[in-house]
Amino acid sequence: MSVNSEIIQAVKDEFGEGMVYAVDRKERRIVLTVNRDTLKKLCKFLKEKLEFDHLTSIAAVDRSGLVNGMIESRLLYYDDYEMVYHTWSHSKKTLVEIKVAVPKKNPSAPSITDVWSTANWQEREAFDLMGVKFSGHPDLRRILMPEWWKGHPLRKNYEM
Amino acid sequence: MDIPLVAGNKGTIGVGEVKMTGDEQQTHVIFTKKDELLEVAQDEKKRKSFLAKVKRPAEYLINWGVKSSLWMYAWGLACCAIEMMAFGAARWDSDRYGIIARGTPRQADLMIVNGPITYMMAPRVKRLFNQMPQPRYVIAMGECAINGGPFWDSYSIVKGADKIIPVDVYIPGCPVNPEALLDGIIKLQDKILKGELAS
Repeated sequence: MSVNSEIIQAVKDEFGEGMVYAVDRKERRIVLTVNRDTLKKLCKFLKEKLEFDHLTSIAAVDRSGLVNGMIESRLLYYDDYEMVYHTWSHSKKTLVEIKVAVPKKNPSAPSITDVWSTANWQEREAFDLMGVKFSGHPDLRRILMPEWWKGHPLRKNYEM
Repeated sequence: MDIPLVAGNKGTIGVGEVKMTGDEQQTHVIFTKKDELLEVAQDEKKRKSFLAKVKRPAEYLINWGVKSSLWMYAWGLACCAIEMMAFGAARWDSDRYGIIARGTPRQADLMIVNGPITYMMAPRVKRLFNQMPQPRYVIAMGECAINGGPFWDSYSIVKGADKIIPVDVYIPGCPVNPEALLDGIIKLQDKILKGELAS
């Protein structure tokens, strides 16, 4: 049994089939898609049980305008943001990518600062440039733009 | 009586016997007697005439001292800082021109703005400039420091270092060669000698 399938099996045993959508992308690369409520539990599980000790990066993606699928020759588009978390396990030498969709109307996600403390500044950056609010963050201020700045510049509807 | 004032290249001014070396530019001593200095100091007209004659050589001397030991503030805003480091290293060797890198603006005469200034960084740049003792000089190195360069359209870049601090010399390039930086510094030294500066 390979490392990938072991991790996917462990995650599915913990959370159940329907809660986590897992993709075995290639060797030592896994993509897990969860919803907002499961995110923090999944992160804790990955860190404490599966030894994912390093949070590599946090990215926020504005997916508005990306094609989601097709129904009867009509294209469907995404209209939300997506948070992408990369975590790395030094013992397993495996990278797990966690994707969480964040709706545009209420762009908030749970903060994972108390799981990996390096998430603090990265979440501040995502808040600053994409406007995703992190509930439970200890110090959610702008980090790259000045305090008086209005708007979130990396959003697709931001007017310069 | 007009004072026999001769100030040579070296700008030395003294009191004592006139020593003529034959070459007028090499003549150093101005006053024939000690009492004459007192006389000049007391008479306003003579004092003004004396100061007018002494001012230019004294300025020249001071400017020469300033331009020969331009200590630069060692910092980096972006990639032009790499070229600045190369300028400080063995091949271009900024120490030959008396340009020594200092780690704090309080010991520096010259600030080389070597990169784009973001709105977040702008108050800090201004503050660092204000911490420098006078006389202080600023070189805008590269397109970003001149007018924002490739980031002209960006939402977060100040369009030129001269929007926030007075700039003496602009050096174009992306990035600026060490040779070009050297050329800019020599131009700044010429400006300092002429005594025509922004700050």
